[in-house]
Amino acid sequence: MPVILRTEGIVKRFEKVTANDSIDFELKKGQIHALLGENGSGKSTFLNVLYGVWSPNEGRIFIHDEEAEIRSPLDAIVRYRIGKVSQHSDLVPTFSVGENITFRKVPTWHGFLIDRGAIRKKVLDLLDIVEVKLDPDSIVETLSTGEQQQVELLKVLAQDAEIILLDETSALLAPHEVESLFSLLRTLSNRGTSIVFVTHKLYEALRCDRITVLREGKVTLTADQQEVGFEDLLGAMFNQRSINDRSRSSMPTTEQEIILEVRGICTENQVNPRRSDLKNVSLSVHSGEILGIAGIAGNGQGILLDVITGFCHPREGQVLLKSEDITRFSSTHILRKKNLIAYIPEDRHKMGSLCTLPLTENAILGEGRKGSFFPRSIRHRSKISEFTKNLISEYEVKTAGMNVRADSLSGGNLQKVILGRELSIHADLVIASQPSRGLDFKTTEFVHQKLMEKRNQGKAVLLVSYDLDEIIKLSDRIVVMYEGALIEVPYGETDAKAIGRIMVGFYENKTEARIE
Amino acid sequence: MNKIFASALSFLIVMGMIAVVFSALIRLSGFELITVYRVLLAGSLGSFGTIGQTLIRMCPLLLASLGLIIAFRCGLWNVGAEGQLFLGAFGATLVGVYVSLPSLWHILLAMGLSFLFGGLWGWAAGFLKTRFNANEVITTLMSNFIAIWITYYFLQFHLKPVRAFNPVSKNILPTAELPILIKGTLVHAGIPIALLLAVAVWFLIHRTYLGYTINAVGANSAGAAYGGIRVDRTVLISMFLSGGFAGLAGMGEVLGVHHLLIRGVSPNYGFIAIAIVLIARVNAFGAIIVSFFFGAVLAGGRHLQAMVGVPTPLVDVLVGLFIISMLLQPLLEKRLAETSPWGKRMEYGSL
Repeated sequence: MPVILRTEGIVKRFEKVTANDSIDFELKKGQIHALLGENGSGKSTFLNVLYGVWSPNEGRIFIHDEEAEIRSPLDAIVRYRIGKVSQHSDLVPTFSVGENITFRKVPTWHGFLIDRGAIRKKVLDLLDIVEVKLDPDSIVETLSTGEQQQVELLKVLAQDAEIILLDETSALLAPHEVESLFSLLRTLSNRGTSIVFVTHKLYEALRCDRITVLREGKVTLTADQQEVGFEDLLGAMFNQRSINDRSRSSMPTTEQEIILEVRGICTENQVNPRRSDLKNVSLSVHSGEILGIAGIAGNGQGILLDVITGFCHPREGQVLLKSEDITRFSSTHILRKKNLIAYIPEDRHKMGSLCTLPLTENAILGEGRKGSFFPRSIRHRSKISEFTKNLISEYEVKTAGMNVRADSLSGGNLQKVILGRELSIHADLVIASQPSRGLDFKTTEFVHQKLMEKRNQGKAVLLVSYDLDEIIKLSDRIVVMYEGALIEVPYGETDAKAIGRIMVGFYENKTEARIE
Repeated sequence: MNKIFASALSFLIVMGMIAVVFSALIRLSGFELITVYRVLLAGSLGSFGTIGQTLIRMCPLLLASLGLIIAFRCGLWNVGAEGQLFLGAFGATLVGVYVSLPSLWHILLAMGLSFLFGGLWGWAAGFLKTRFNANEVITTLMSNFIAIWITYYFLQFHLKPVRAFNPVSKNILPTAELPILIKGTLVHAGIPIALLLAVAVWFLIHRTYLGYTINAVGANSAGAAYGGIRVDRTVLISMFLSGGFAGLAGMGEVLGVHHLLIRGVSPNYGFIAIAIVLIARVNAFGAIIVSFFFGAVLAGGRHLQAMVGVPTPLVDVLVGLFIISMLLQPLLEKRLAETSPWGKRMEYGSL
């Protein structure tokens, strides 16, 4: 089979982070090629390079053995016939299936009136070819997620795409919808369309023709599906690695006080009941330990943190903080009024900071600080600037001053501000969600060191991360979140491959695990 | 390019653009340029009396702007100052005409009721937002009409003396009149009150905890909620204060200028205030300067019609020109600041 798309040494860097490190990749005509890897392994970045969203720092792309310079997504589809379907819908929800599919080339009557008959005919022809049953006149927003993705695929097809890139499209689908997605992909590939299928699910990758595994931006394995087994892929994804950390001063003992206890939390997802939610989740975090929650993104970690911090309330179950029931407390009450929890949220721009306000305003965020920074509700300016100055020097924040807007800081420096602000609360429980996401090595080390300090001071730390190395490095105990349930990792297990096996859904005892 | 220089240059360019367009319009309408500009200037800043004319127009503009500053800081696009102003004028008239009190108390009560009327009207839009997630742009814009026509209804059927022909209320009692500060002019006590309130609003926004929460909610409501700030409460308070200040603007017109309620109590002060706030970069001190400026344009424009015969719509065109140009000015300034004197744009980041 001829090679339709080939890359040589693609390198893509974001500031100091190298997302793609010299990727060589070959896509053959009519094949479904899986691109497998953990979160942050560089899959999406690579796809965006192919789709013209990013231009690579180094490396070359060849299409039909001719060097291609893909400048924009429009370029990709028009000049190189590369289409992309992303996880989140790009359809116009109030338009019909037909209108969406023919979106870029709407058949018209003399370029003036929309020719509905022609739309219908064109779409029906297309549906016939790919053997999909859809009514071209139904409105897109009334369709299920799976059907919407079929429409997206057809839309890309209608633009004469030869190469289709799918970015984790299966993540939001129910099992039977995944089935019909694959049968559609198979039909397309049999007709000569080449497909790149990005996923972090092993069993989905094993249904493709060829598999490339990425880890930390590098290709660790490329092989035909028949040549590799489950174990090979697991090894390539997670590597055989154990991390011994020297900063860990003591192992947790049973005498430690339980700071946070979560008992049998169940939640309901109103939007899509089929999707996983929290299923009887229980855990406890002791003083002086870091509990790491590993897992692929989107397995319920966000909802769990929302429940603990009071942003949403569970259907069943209890959250106890130092034996006090806080299940029904509001987030205002939990996070600030009583200074019970220091919370470093996953999204440092949308949630963790007030981006358009000066650094000082970000440093003092928190209702609990009202008393010290706003005595009698009036701003205590010298105290605020002194606090900010200390925070900047103690956390080594690189900034042009303390009155610059928070969004002028780099991600790492902003994270240091958030970290410093939260850790200065002296709460008994520290929750850190993805604390080092997108940070360079040095800043990551700094963040880890600060969290470790808190642990050594006897605080309880709950760490949620999609980066397995981070979890293994920092955690005293590890649990894995998979489809809304927690699975305990045997104590002392620090082998990434063993934990990775649980993360992708293969573990011996498939009962709902309880962590005591 | 130097920042201050860029700022000054952009202002000059914008002013020049306005002058060119407005001059062209005047010439096309067949008026003498020199006469028009002389009257415009004389009518707004020429003498004590005309400065007074400028100041009494500045007063409602400034008060309404102060309210809008609070709402805009909270990220709420309150475009309902006009309606809130009318209800404030209505409230002030009620107290002024029907309540009998010693002077100071009378004025204070009128101020209180106008603040309350305007404030509740603003609060209602805030309530719709927090409770039903209704977009405040729509609700405040639409509630303008409701407020204005409620006021007209009461004016026509209840406040107007039965035998009167024109829809005007009775005169307010002399005890409710805002005292004239300078003999021979119209400068009333509402003007220093507005200036004091401008300082107060600046203090509220920049120096108090409430101001901090308002800024925080406006910058990022999710971040504010994460910081433990009660977002809904902050929204309601901001909308109440915002409407209240617009109500005070209406109070000033009734107690300070007309001494009765008329239909044309506000020639779009509430809408011009939106532009003032944006031009003043949502800053209370800036609003003082900009509202003085717009007060001058309005005052001068009034003379233009009386003395030269230039039709009022042309003055409205001038106001519109100012608004558009002033909103363009920051963009121009940014562009200039990024440009080196040799015309090559400097690189800002990699994107």
